[in-house]
Order: sequence, then C-alpha cells, then structure tokens
Amino acid sequence: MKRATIGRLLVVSGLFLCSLPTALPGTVPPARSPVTRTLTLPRSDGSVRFAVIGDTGTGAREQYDLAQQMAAFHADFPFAFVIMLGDNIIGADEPADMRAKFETPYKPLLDAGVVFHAVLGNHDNPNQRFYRLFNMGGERYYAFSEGGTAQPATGGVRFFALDSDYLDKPQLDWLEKELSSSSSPWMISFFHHPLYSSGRTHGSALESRAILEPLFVKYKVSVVFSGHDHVYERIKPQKGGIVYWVSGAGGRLRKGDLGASELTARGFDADCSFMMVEITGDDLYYQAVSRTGETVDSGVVRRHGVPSPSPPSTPAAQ
Amino acid sequence: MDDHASIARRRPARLLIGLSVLCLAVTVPAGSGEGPAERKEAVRVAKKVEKADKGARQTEEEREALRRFQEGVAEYAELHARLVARLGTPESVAAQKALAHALAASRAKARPGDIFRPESEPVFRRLIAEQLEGPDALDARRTLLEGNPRDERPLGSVVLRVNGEYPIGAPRSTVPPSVLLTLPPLPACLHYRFVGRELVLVDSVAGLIVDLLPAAAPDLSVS
Repeated sequence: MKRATIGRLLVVSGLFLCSLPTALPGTVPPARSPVTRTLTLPRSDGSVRFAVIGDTGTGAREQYDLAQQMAAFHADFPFAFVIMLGDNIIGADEPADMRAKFETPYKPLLDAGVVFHAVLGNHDNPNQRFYRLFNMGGERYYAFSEGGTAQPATGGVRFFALDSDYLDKPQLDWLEKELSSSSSPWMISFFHHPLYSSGRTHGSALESRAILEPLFVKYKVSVVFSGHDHVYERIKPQKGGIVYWVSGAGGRLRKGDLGASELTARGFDADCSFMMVEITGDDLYYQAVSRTGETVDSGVVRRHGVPSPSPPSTPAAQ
Repeated sequence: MDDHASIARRRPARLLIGLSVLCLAVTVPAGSGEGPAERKEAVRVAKKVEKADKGARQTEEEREALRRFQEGVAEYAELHARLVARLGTPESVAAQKALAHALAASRAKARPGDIFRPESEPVFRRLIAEQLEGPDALDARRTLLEGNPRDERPLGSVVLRVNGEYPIGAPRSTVPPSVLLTLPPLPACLHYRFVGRELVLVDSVAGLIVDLLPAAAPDLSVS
C-alpha cells in the first residue's frame, strides 16, 4: 500500500475517532473538573433572586452533582428560594426516600435558609403537598409573593403554582380569580407540563395550552417555567410576549431529546442543568448552568408591556 | 442597447432585490415558531377544548344516571371528611396508609360499580370517547398515556381493586383537561385517573381506589 494512501487512512481514522462522543449514548458523562464558575446575573440591591429546578427526585448521582453546583453558585448569588417544577420525588416516598431524594442533596441550601416551593408532577404522590419543606400549604395549587415593600427595587413578584397533572374546573376558576386580583407588576407561573416544548419524549401539552395560555395572555403573565421534558429549553416569546422555559433536567436527563424546532431560542440537552433568576425593576435576568458549572444560557427578559430602553443616542459630531 | 458590462453590473443588484423580496414574502408570524402542522393541530385542539368547556349534551336518562353517581360520590366524601376529622390530615406516608385502612374498613363491602353504577357506565364511556376518539384527540390520548402506569410499568404488575391502594411509587397518568371538563365534577378528595383504559376513582388524599370502570377509554393508539 502506498505511503500516501496509508497517510490518508490515518488522517481519516484520526478525524473519525475525534468525532466520537466521549460517553456512550444514553449515559451521562462523568462530572469533569469544575470549570470556572461565571455569574452573569447583576446582583442588584433589593432584587428578587431564585433558582429553578425540575424533575429532580431521583436520588441519583446527577442530582447530587447538580445540587452541589447550586450550592456553589449560591455562595456568590444567594438566592432566597427555589421553585421546583414537579417530579420532585420519583418512585417511593417513605421518609428515607425524602432524605435521599431531597433533604440530603439540598442540605447546604436548606441549612442556609433557602425555601423550596414545589408543584406536583405526574410522578409525585399528591400528598407531597403536605410535606413541610415543599411549602405548598397543603394545596395542589397556590400562590405566593416575593419582593414588594421588602424589596422595593422589584415592586413585587406574584407566583402562581399549578397542578398541571389535573387541571380541573375549581383550579382554573381559582387561577382566574387570583390572576385578575393580582396587582403585582411581575406575574410568573410554574407547573410541570410545558405548554411549549421541543422535547421529543413529551413535547407541548396542547390541551393545557388551550386552557392556560388565554388566561396568561389576558392577565399579562410575563414568564412561565415547566419541567417534564428532561432538557433545558428557552422558548421564543409566544402570544402576549410570554417567555416559556423548560427546565426539566434537574436530576434526570434525556440526552439528545431536543428536536429541531422553530420554537427554540436556546436549548441544551447534553447534561443536567438548573437556572438562576434575578428580577430587578422591569428586568428578569436568567442564567442556566450545567452540572459541570458551565453557563449554557443567559440573558434578560423585559417585563410584559414595558418597552426595552432605547439605546443611548450618539452625540452629534462637533 | 446596454452593453455586457452594464448588464453584468446590474445582475447582482437584481439578485439582492429579489432575495429581499423573497425574505419579506416568507415571514413567520411573530411570537410563533412552530411549524404549520403544529400550529394547525394547536388550533384544532383549542377548538376541541372550547367545545368540551361548554359541556356535553346529555339525555334525561343520562342526567339521572349521573345524579345517582353524584350521590354515591357525596356519600363517600362525607365518610372521608369524618375520618380525616378523627385521624387528622395525613402528612406522612404512614398516616396516609392509616387513613386508607380506616376508609377501607368503613366500606368493607364495597364492590366495583357501587359508585360507577351500571346505568352510568355507558354515559361515562360516551363522554370519554367524545374527548379521546378521532384525529383531533391525538394530543389528549398522548397526554393520557404519559405516566399511565400500564404504560410505564410492566403489564400485570399493576393490580387494581376497590379498597386497594393506588400502587405505591406508580406514576399517575395526566388526565386531559377536555376529559376533566366533560366528566361530572368531584369533591376535592376524589380524582379521576386512568390506568390503561380503566377509569379509576381515587381518593387523592388516602391513595385509596374507591371504584373502577373497566374499558372506560377507547383505543388509545397514537400512531
């Protein structure tokens, strides 16, 4: 065989080997050495700060790894609370399971006084609503406020936590009543099943969208967080300018599950991830971080109905 | 007549103008991002849900059958409230099991069909079929299969019986909103759930199976 041919074969083989994935399909790569953590959030005085996790409750190594990243980022960005997007405890939920799948991985945050607000997913025992550390007040759906006079920079954020597994009439009537009576400048909803998602396993919940989206548009909800699909996806603004997120890779990942879709503003399905959010004035800053501490998405969303600030005008040349 | 040089100069400009016109003509509606097929499906589903919200037509006979169903449901809800008042809200798995045990003991002779009475079975099947059959119900069928224990656990390992516990650790199938809007309302302690095609009346606080309606749902194929 000629040397040139051997040389070409070697080059092609090398290129082929370099293109192979570093993990077997369907597995999660081991956590590499932590990358330098970069915080993109402004940390403004008086802001409302929280984290977002979904589909966490496996008790698996990935959940613990991600929880460690959350604790590490919390040192620089002390978020006051976490919203949990359902499938909080998957499988058995005896006291030992609650410890393994929630209390132990998030112990550093719990010890630091971080409050967790959960919603139910389709894998959750409905009686999780009585579990003290999920702060659901014994209800399947509930609302709570953050900011306001305690944090005047924000003017108040009202959260609407829903049970998307069972969208019955009493819940919908409650939601409309709550939305219509809220005077908070920021209105945010979170629940398990995404109204918009490019996840191949589940995708968009169209019937839920038909019921909830008109309410969100009518009452000017600004952003919505959901889980269920085990990926990260920021959806392009939809009707009413509402930005939807899927953040369902808090403990389980469906690697490669994101389909090519015109819905996606940014997607990440190579590893588990969580989000951090900071609301200050009319701006909501977000940062999505992977299990290895890499920032996979970040940016800012302007509050519903508030125009973006004009760019500063260039002074005329003298 | 133009010479070759001037024609050659104008060609790139014409190409650019043509491309710009093409881009302007093919615009995706703002705030959308889904493909045409997905948008059409979303519109069909929205119409279906709107229709479900208006309520299903019922004959007088059906209304009577559902009235008797509601009587059975109210009777159960009273029993539930009495036992919760005695035992307390079950905030732990152990307390949940204790409540389930007490409820089961109080209705030891309960049988399938005590609440889903025979005369109400065809009404339920019809109401459910209206929301789950046909091409417009594809999303509803997919929803119902998600987390459906028959789908997510091996067949045969989910045993349903009246007064039995809803399988511990088993997922719950999401009930499509259109189905919930159509079926008779329930008190807060009771939920409809599907296991396979069976409609299960579940005490959502005690995790107790209160009644069963076999083959309540039509074929759930999504292909």
